[in-house]
Amino acid sequence: MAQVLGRLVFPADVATGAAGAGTVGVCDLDEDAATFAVEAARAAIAQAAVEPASIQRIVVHGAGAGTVSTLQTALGTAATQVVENAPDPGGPGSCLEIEIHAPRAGKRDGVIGRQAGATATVKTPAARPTIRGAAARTPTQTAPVVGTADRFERLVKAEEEALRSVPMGAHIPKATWDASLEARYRLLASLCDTCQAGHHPPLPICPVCGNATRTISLWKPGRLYSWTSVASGPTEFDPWLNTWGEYVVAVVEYEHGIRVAGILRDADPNRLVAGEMVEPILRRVFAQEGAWRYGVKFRHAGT
Amino acid sequence: MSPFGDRKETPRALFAAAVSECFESVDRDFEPKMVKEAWIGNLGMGGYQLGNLGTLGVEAAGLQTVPARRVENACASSGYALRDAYLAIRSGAVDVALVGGLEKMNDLSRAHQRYWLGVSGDTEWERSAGLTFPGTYALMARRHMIEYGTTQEHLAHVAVKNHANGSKNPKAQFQKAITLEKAMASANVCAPLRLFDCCSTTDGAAALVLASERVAKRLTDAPVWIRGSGAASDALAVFRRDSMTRLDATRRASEAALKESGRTIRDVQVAEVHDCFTIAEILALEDLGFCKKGEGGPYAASGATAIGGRTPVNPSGGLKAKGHPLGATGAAQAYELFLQLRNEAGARQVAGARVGLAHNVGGSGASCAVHVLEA
Repeated sequence: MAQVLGRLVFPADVATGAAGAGTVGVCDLDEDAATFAVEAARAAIAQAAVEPASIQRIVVHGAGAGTVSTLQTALGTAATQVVENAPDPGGPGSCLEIEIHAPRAGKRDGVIGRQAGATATVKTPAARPTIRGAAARTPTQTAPVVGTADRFERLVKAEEEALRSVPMGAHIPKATWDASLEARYRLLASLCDTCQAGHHPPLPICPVCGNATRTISLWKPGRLYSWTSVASGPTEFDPWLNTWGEYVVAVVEYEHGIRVAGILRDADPNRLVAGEMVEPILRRVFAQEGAWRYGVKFRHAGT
Repeated sequence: MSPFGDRKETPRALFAAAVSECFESVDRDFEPKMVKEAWIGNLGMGGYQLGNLGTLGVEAAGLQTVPARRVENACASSGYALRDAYLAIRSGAVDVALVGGLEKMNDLSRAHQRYWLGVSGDTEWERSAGLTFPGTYALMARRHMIEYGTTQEHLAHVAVKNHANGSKNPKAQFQKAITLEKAMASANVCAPLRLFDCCSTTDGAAALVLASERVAKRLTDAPVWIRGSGAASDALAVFRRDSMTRLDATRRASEAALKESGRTIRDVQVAEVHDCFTIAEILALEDLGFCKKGEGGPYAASGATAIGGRTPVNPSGGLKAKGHPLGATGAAQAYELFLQLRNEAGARQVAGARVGLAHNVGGSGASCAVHVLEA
């Protein structure tokens, strides 16, 4: 159904690179520059072995304000300067910074398709640029295949349908959704040290014993606890159903009794096994009032 | 109770018909003006009378000045309406109450219906994961299969039994029996739940008159007593509950109702349980205590729950065959038990039934009201 994401991790002495020349990727309804930017950034930070909170600057090229704020929330780098479309791409870092290239969709070389993806590099302050970690996340499709144009047109049509106001989709006010972004983008949960109960999204007071809790991130693989293949769901998920057919919703189990629900990407519902490892990914979930809403979905761990 | 199904009548007409039949069913000396207060279960019918639905109901029933309110707990709305009226009468504040339920769903578009049918769970965290109620119950069914080996066939047995009962209920939405093969071959809705594992959308209304002991004895020599009432809440999202194969709200509500009644589940001779999906009846059989946890599948397939079985469950056809007008279901369950316990249920009569239990669930188990009735 979907393309396998290409994973390109460059060695530390190589500067940023884009997806391989001549490659055109057609991304799925729920994938775009923002979600790839977050994955690339997380991978680069992990390779650089730095704390996300220590990143002082985010430099972004080719992406919109939405991508930037998604990045900030997902990385948890609240106190970071952001410079968009800086005039000196690839130049020396003035402080510990991460540089993201996140091109928007478009045609390339006359081939109908869409390329989305991102590359990220973590750079330390120095007279010479020192790259600590780099990663790229792109969809890969090595050559245009028969039906690519149809597929692309269908995808664009589904996106437009999603962004139009969906009649009788459940209207969660934007302010309410926005208040949950950190909990979604970093899969935050509260943990009670007194009784060990956990809760996602985080609750400041433990619902079981009433003591104060602390917040942790569950952005890591969890165990598949239950699933269903959905042929009939909320109206706002119809563009997904209409384009790709049934989707699988998983319940994923973490420690302290915490369970999270989200769509499981690229799953064969007839071959799922309880207890297998799945990992969270940040994806577009649905559209409301003409704007995409992002949240957690899952994929098989290690894919 | 009005006929349930795809009804042409307006909501007002449906409710008036149910109330009219209800008033006529009182054995003697009843006058509508004896009703002091009204509780009407309703989810919202598409939203065009969200406010003052209570007043719409009493107006349609010819009781314009009677104080009324809409009671809402998703599919458990009229079960809670029954409980609220019961508590008011027990407190001595009210001596005669009208309890009812009303829902009109089939005049809405499918998109509209899927809105109204999908905002009674955790909208922010469960619906946004791509789930409406077939999905949440499917997650419980899958887990039940993993933990206890419950099969598709076990689920289908519930549908077959309830459609067989519905064929004996002239007011049921679906009046044709179905075969096991037909149920198991139906299209996927949210795996493992297929079309015949899911109740339909239904229009309908139901009404009951409740009276204090003193007044009841004047009106009839064959009252049906509410001996116990229990209710409980649990997490909105199915995946946040302690177990996904058990409705703790059912357990707490039924324990409280049975305790108040002085009865145990073994004394219950007939039950109307909340089978919005086949898995829901299997969970109810376990959580109410008719069988052990995990054995609901085989128990449902054993014939013990058929009319003529050890403890008939859903002789009316249940939500599956009788229909599920969301706000009216709880009242309709009590209506069926009223007929059963007075030996007035005709072709679907459970012989000699004196003690009955009504089990009404909201959403996927976030709320539950249970009542124990006795003749």
